[in-house]
Amino acid sequence: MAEKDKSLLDRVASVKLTVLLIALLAASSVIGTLVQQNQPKGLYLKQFGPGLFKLFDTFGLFDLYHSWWFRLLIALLALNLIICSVRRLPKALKLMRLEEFAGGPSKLTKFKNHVQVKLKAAPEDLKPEVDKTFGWAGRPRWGELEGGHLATFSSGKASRLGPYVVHLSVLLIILGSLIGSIFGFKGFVQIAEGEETSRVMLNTGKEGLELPFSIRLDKFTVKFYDTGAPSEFRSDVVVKENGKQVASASIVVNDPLTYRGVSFYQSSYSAIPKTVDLKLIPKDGVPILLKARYREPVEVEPGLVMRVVDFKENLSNFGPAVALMVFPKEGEPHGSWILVKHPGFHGNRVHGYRVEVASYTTGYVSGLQVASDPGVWIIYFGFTTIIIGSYMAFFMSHVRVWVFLKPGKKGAVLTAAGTYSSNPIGFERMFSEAAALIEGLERESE
Amino acid sequence: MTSSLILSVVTFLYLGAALAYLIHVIFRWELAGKAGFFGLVLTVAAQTGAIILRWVESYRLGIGHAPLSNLYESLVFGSWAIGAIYIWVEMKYRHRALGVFPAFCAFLAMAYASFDKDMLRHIQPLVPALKSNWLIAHVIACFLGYAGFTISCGIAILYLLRAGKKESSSSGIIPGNLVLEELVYQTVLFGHLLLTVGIVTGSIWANSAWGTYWSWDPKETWSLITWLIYLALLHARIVRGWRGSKIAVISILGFASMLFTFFGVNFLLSGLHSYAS
Ligand code: HEM
Repeated sequence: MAEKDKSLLDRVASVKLTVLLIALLAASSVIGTLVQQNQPKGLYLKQFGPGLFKLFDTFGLFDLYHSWWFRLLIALLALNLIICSVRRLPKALKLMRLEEFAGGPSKLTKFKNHVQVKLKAAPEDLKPEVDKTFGWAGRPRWGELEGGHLATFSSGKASRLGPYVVHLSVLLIILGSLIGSIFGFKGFVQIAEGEETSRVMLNTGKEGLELPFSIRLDKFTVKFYDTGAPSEFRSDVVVKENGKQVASASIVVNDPLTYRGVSFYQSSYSAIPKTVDLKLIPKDGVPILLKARYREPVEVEPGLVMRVVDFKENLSNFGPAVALMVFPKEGEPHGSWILVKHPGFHGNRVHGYRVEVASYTTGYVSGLQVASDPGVWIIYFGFTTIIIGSYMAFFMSHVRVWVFLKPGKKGAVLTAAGTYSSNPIGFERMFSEAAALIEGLERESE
Repeated sequence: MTSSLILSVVTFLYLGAALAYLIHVIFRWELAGKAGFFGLVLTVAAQTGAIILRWVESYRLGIGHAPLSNLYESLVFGSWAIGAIYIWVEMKYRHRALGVFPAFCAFLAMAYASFDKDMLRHIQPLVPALKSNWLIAHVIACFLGYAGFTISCGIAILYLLRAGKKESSSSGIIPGNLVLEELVYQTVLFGHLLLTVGIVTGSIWANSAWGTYWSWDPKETWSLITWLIYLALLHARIVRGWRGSKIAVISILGFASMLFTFFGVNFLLSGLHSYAS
């Protein structure tokens, strides 16, 4: 039984599984880019037909990255990573501490990178030369051994921890995204200039979310370049809590406002008419002059209420237009688009009146993306450490060099050897250059 | 504009360097290799000047921004990155025969940037979403990484061409198989680190612009796929001990995925999407 458990654990911890899971994740992501995600059902039915639709739907292909099996892949990857790292970490820690080598100085010549020369100078006098020549391998520690002097150079120990820093970062990023999806929300608000709201429309569904504070839009500005391309969208807002103003900010793209962990991002805008001066001309009788506020009811005649419900800066190339709706006491509400620049247009009619727009003032509605993500700091921390860890793992190397100086017949016998944990081409070049320097020193005459 | 004139000349200089390297490899002619290298150094220097000049020109137009904001500018920077990083690799490892592929890729990127008729080559003002230092860091990191992958792919192709033949040790001009394999790996290490930085900075940019650091859009997803392919290569090699042709093949696969991330997502997937809607 114990034997079986062990082999299962081995399998879950194996790097074979890691590579397989990485390949599976990559392959599923490819599918996710070929099948458009999160579209309306009808579109998929049209695109794939009912048979394929049902199959794809069963496997969650239309929201693949949030499907149970995609999450399972990520969970397995995390498990694999944890078990493998926990099992290997002790060995890495031991390697970090390892500066001695088995077998003593006589075994130095067994290393792939080694050099042995007989030199004229006495062992003590060679120490500064050794310090200088192998200084690239770290700071030396000298000790006495077997009647000679042994220098141990070591550097880049931390590189042994690189993989573990990286793997921990991957886990942190997974954890951060989990926290964000559980405790965070994403939504949207639309505020007209001068208006205030505390209600957020959530991206997940129709129900809204009430914030513990409200946000008022004082002014929205859009600036353009000479080419006509937009250069800036800016919402000047004020945050109010319990009736008191607690913050104010200008939100522009790439520079959100964050209050109490909720961030507001400039996302869209539209123009609206603030007030519209209307002239309603009946078939016979005196024209009625009205001042209508956007979306607010105004009484035309007893029992007949009218609203300005929509606005287009340019309706089908006929210039600005306002949409009017009338709500009679009896009968259905009805309405029409009124062209501002074409007062004679035959469609400028509602409920028996010919309508002209005498003048109007416009304002803006600003669309702000709203997000709260308590996991994002964990993610950012993971982002930082994954980069540091990758650098440690691959661009630092645990280098160890030993130099043994033993008295010879007249001078000294110098033996040097070294190993490294990664980046062999760099190490071997440094070592062979150092060896050449040593070999260039004055030899002991035979 | 003067910068675009220099850049058109640079396009042909890259072709010249690629041909010189090719002659060097085919005829084992030392001098051609030298010409390739010094030609490449000259090309990259001229291109550096042109990029800086374009930057200055944008300020003269009153819409100053780093020249990394559209397809044209990113292709120019991408080819610069390939040239510059290859020069660094050649100086570090002292092998001249590996220049053919990178120089040719840099030429192709420049040729596409300079001669495609739909390419917008003039300096455009930045729309609000692009005004971000994270975006600049993102573009630079991604393209340096892509350059590493490009060089790796070139060496991997050379390795596979050589691996079939008997003569697999160093033949004077082309380094031995062990060195080639090591170089495929080293350049992937570099590329992967920079792609990691690129994805990270891109996702911080997305978060500051829209409040979402990751939204699984096709471009993001494909950059992750590329990252995963090279991640598989690293783990297969470090922990499973894969070597040689297998590693070379994954490097080429990763390069294909990288190309798709850059070009395919724009042209093929958006085509698919517009067809669907
Ligand atoms: C930038 C990303 C990554 C880098 C640089 C990296 C680096 C490494 C290195 C250097 C090793 C060898 C450790 C040793 O020799 O003991 C390793 C092992 C391993 N990696 Fe990664 N890795 C990365 C991401 C991942 C990811 C995303 C996973 C999957 C979830 C993963 C799973 C593993 C596993 C299971 C091992 C073997 C167990 C261990 O040594 O901890 N790695 N990785």
